[in-house]
Amino acid sequence: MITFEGVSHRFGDTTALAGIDLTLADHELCILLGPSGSGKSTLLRLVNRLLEPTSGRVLVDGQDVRAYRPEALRRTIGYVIQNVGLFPHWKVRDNVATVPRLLGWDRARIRGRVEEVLDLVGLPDQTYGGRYPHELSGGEAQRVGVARALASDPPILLMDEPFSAVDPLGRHRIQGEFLEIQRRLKKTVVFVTHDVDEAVRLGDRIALLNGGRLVQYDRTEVLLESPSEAFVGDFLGQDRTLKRLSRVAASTLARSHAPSGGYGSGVALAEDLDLRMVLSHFLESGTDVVALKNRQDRITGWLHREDLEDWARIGELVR
Amino acid sequence: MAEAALRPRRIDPVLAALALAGAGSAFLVPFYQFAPNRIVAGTDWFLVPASLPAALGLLLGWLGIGVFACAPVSFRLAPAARLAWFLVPVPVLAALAGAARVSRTLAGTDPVARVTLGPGVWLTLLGALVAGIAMPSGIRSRALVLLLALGLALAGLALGWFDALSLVREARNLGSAFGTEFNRHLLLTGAAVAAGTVLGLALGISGHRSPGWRLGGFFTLNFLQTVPSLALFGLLILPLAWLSARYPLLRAWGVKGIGPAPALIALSLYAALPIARNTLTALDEMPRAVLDAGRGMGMSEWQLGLGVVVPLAWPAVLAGIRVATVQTVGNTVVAALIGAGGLGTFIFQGLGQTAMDLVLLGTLPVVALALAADQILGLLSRPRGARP
Repeated sequence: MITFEGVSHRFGDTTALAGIDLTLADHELCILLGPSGSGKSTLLRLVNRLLEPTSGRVLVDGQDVRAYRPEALRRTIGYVIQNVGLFPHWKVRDNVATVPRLLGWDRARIRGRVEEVLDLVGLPDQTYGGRYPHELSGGEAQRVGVARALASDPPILLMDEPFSAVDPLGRHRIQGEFLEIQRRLKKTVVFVTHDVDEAVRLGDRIALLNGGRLVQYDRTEVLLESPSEAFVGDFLGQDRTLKRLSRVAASTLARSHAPSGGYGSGVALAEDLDLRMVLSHFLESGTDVVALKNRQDRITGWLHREDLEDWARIGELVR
Repeated sequence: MAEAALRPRRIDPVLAALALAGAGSAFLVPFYQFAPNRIVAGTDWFLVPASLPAALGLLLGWLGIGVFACAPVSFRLAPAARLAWFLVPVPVLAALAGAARVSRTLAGTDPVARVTLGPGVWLTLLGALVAGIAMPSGIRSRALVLLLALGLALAGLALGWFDALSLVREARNLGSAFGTEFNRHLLLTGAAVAAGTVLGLALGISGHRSPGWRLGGFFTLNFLQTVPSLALFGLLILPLAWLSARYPLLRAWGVKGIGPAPALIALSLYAALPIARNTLTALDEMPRAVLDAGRGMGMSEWQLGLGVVVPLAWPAVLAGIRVATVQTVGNTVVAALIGAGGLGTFIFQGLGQTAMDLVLLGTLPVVALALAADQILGLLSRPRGARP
């Protein structure tokens, strides 16, 4: 658990953060979202003491971070940044081994762990371990960055716009892969981004910041559905409803019985497709109902357009 | 565009032109001069009447290089073609063999009479240098060939083949003085580069950390660089003489207005600039993300410095040291004027006596030292593994 208690931070005359109170739950991916200059990166860097608060306290598991030596603290917290910052003169496997080496693990253990995390991010050590960073694509380098942060298996991951330098297509893929990893590892992730789509796609919760203030902190669905003030709505965009749909799998609204009056579109969609895609399919085909299938191509249910529209209007909040 | 320009042509124009000019030189340019004594200008000897075997060797060497220039591109690019680099020293060795032959015919006839190396020999040397750069070669075969050629030339020297050569005559006249001044030159250069490295590193690092140092330190060094070395030596005489007179301890250490002390100070200051500048650039351009990531993962400042900053900055710093060394080898020549010794001693003596061979005797080792230092430091800075 990470707690910010009345945290303020000033750089000279400018106030980067003004009295932030925020608690981030364990095993959740919390997005720090906001325009540039909103203080989101500053907030993140307070956790591993790359910056110190001007006033207030930052607690990790109830313990003030100032109780730890900065280096010792940082070795227990994974850190991924936008420009990756791989050491250009070290091979991929040496980069990944950075923190385990700092922690003084023995060679065999480091070797095993490096292979494990490189496998986890889909870059097998045999192929990639001996390469130098400049021999990697942007997406590969960022995966190595993630592997490096996970190497010592820290409970907390700090990620500062980790995927924003990757091209859009690669970014979408790496986001998906990272979600998979997170579902398995259940780390406590603090993830800074200014990209609303990324925030909506990845975040269990979103903390929206503006001008050093915390504007709203809620579960992602709630934030999309009921913005607390005009800024939140503006920042999330007019297509909030579509974004909300994008977080829900088609199977959640499926009926088990076949349609009586509606017309099927004649195709079956994958049941784990999100509702936004299903709506797109409805608009395209002009139909009111679509069959859903599982990975084995078996029909598992039907999704009715009216159910989708009801859901979009009312919203089934999981508070 | 650039790649198209780099694609090898059907006939290598540089090598072909060199081969043609080289072959022509045997008939058109005087290779040696014969003088009855040290001062009088000599009479020109062309290679062809002077020594037919040497002319033949020279022509064969250039002919080989010309044939290589016209060989199919695929052959020129093949690894085996690197053996053709053995041709490079052939014309030079032939010209030297000619000199040995000419000087042997004169040996014993007249102890003051001398054979001087003429423009033909120097042009051949220059041509071989350019050919050596233009021809493909591996670093090992190149070193091997150079060592072989050098060994051959030195063996000839030791066997007395070149005894009537004016350069050798001058060297014999100097006796042990040559070795003394050569060592002194090395010592001065080495000490100045060492001090300049310490100074340059310190200034580069402080300049990176504080804008004041950057402004003040670099202004001073840049300014000093514009002061001619001779003037700087002169300017140092007065304060050092005063210090030496005032503090006996300094005097006991050999600090005087003239001699090695002002020379070392001036040379170190000159050497510091390229090193300081490269250090500063390397530190300024250190990728911030790398430092941020290192810190964020829990590296201490020491671990970051030794593990990341030093290895990443080292190639640029070494390049600075390389420039400084080559430059200092040359600058040290001027130090002879304020009594610091070194190879400049012969150059200025020779200039004073209009004895060009003495000037050459000082100049050639300086050139050789500069080239050697450049090559050795260049080898050290060759990237190991892959770099960005």
